[in-house]
Amino acid sequence: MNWWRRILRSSQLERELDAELRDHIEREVAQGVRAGQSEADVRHQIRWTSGGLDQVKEACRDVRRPPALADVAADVRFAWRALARNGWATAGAILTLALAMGVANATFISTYADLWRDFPFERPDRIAIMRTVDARGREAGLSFADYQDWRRDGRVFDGPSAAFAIGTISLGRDGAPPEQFEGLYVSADTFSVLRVKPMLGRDFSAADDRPGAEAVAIISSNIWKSRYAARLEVLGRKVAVNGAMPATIVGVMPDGIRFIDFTDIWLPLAQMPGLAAQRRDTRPLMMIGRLPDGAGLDRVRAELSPIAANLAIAHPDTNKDIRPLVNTLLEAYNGGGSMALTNSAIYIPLLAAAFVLIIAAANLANLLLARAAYRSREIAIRLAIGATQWRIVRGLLIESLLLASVAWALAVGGSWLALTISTSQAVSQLPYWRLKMDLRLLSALAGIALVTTGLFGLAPAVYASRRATADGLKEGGRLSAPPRVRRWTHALLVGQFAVTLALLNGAGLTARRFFNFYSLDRNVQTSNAVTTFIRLPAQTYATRDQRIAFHEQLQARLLSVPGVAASTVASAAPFSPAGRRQLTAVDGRRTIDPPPDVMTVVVDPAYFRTVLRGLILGEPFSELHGTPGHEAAIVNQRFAEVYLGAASPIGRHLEIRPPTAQRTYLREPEGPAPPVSVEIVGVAPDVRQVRDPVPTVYLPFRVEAPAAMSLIVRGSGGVGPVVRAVRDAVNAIDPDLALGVVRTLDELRDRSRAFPAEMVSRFVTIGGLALVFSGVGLYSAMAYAVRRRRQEIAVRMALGAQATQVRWLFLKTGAWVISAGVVLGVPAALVVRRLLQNTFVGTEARDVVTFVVTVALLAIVALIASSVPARRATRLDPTTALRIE
Amino acid sequence: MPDKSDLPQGTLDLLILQIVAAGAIHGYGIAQRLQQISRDVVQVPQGSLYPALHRLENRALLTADWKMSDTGREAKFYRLTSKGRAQLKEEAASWIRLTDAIGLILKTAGGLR
Repeated sequence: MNWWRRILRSSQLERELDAELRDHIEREVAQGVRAGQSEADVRHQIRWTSGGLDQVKEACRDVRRPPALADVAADVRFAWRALARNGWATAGAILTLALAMGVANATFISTYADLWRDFPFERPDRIAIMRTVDARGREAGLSFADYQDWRRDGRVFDGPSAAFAIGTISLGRDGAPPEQFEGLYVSADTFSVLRVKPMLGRDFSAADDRPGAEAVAIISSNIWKSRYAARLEVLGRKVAVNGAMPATIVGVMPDGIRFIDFTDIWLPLAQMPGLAAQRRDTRPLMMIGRLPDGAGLDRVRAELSPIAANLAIAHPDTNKDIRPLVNTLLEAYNGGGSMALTNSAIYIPLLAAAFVLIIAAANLANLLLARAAYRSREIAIRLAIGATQWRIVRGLLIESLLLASVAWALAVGGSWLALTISTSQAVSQLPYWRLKMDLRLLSALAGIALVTTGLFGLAPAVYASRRATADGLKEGGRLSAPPRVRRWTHALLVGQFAVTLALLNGAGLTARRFFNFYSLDRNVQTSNAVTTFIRLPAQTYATRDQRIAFHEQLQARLLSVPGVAASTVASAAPFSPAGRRQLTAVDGRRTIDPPPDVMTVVVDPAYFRTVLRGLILGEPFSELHGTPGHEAAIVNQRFAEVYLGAASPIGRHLEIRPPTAQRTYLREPEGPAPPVSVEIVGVAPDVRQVRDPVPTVYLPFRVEAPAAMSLIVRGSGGVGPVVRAVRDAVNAIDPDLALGVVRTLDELRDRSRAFPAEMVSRFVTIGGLALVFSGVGLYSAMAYAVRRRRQEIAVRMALGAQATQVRWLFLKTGAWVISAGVVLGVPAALVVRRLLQNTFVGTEARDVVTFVVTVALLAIVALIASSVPARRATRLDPTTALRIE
Repeated sequence: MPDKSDLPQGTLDLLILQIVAAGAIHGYGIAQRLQQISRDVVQVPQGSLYPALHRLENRALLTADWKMSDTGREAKFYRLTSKGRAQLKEEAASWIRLTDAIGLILKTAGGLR
């Protein structure tokens, strides 16, 4: 029988052995009884002559078991017992390592999900996405005219190329209430480039994508299920798109296909409003194509650059300095050319997690070092009675291995649990984000665990087994660890505290900055407020007066609903992107050339008391403002600081012009607006639209009344009745009009700072863990020291040492470790702060308060970690302690 | 009852192989046969017999099957493998050579005295 079968089938073998031996005894008994003896006598005799059954069995087992394996099994048992004897310290070290590995794993997995999206397309790395970039490095899409030229002359791709543009699309008149969705206008070949096919119906054909073609649409499986109850008859159904154009649904995409992000409806590019008349400097399109085998992005760049150069010559007024921007799909998702994958915000938590891992490894190293020192006598005795060096080293290695594997298993289990919980939340927020366990990472972590435990377990083992036996026996009787081991322990502790100081200080800086930065969100009254997006279709609301009339009617209806406290419209709700215009003159003086961009938000008079908490200076708009002769503006504080100097802003004049070219492909155009000269009538508090509060100009709604407006309604009770009131009011005025997604302002605020909040929480978690781990490390080192020095303490106390003196013996070490840690931690903290300055949240240049608080926290933890074992030392009973050795 | 003799080192294996060579037999049977044939000189306790049997089984000199026995219980019956047969032949030959040699020495030495 093979040795492994012997192990695998050990329980069966055990049963057989038992049966065989019992059979033997029964036969002997029967024989004896036949010979005339009593059964009891025979049994007694058997036990007397052949020893106990168990001894026989053990002898048989020894024969069966391969010798080396038997030793290892004994070593494992021995190691387990040795570790279990120091339960708390062992559990602390294992848990520390497991937690650190879990954090590293989770951080890596989410970083990995940030960096490598999980695209549901065939070979997504071969999909190139083309946009443009201007002389200033500003990214934009490309115009329809440019796309046609690029497509005609650029033949580098494997198969066709395609283009698409983002738009908000509403569906209605199909039996369900009108609804707004994220839509995409796609050229006919888009899905062939992506290599996806509808699961029902058909893809767009070239005939669908011609001007004047009958309108068709493909929908996502999402709305197929939610809006059309997953009925097959959805194909061929007519639906009103954007309140007018009837389109026929010809296809349903499979689950998970929502290109480009969370698109629910696709229309042929030819159906995009204003496509034919689009100017070359309106650049809403993006182009995609597949890279041929063996070709990189460089080939595409080489192909497109001359085409763009020719266009720049042919159309200098629109295409001068416009260069192609070519990326893979993945690069585009990670910020394309400008941000690339080097965003330190992504890497810093990873780095921090690695440091926490190092701290945990140091804890474990200290545990093993302490144990090796503590056990040097045991090792010496074992060597003296004939153990080989290898046997000793192997025993200690097995101990390390045991620690590492338990920690690893805990870490894997823990991070699996964490992922299961967080995946459900994250997936709905970020496109193509998937958190998944990574085998390579798990093995890397196992490797780290093995190397740290193995290295630190082995070093003392070799040290201990190499010394002359007599020395070991002598030294084992000594009262404290050898100085060399103690030096190592202290160095590791100091290192831990230094790293912890840097991490904790970093976490503190980030958190503090986060709360300072977002404290201005309190300028917005977010409670009980909901917001939605209303887009008045050009077909039914062609003129400014029609749009104004609609909104006036809506406001009047809403305000008459009980439970609605206030209502307003704005071209952009707070915490969402707003339009930009050029500031050409202040008080008649030209600004720099080219003119700076300022943010502009078109609002009705109620905005300042509904969304903000009133103005700082001046008066809100009146009903008159915005009519000819009453051009007015309200600026925010930041604008006043940057452009208006110390003098009062009220009564001063600005000249504002819409941007010359529509650069962005992410928002629908606000529509052309003439240059206006406006008088400042008030100053509003700063409000965040996207990131920082930027210089902002509020313009009265009546000036232009954009087609797309955000409605913001505040209720006096909860948000439920408000949402219903909004739906009813809109429906009563125009049953075809679809509302956008309804969100509360609280939600909008939380979403807008979700990423920084996530980063801050990662940081604080990591910093906090580092603190706890260092505390645990110091505690277990101290606890060991106390155990080791029991006898010494007993002698001291027997000779009359006071409790405070004994306590100081240990507190001294703690104090020394923390002081050295702080001294070494300062430069490390400075490095971390420098790294953080480059991230989105940024940090204050000099934040002494945070530093002092950090050091205080560290000191408190160090004090607790060393005073608990120190107190235990003073409670030792000298007689007991002296008897132990 | 004659005195029991300790078996020389390594001879138990040989004796077991020799007994088993006569046909499939269980552990108790082996002990009984050894005792009978040696006229109670060789008495093997369980603690020596079974480890030896298991060692021989591990070395593939013996193989075993569970079979119904005369007691009505299943018992483990040992048989010689071909390897065991070869081993027995070789060891028996060498043992006989050795005992002949020892006998010769003893006889010769006795003559000189």
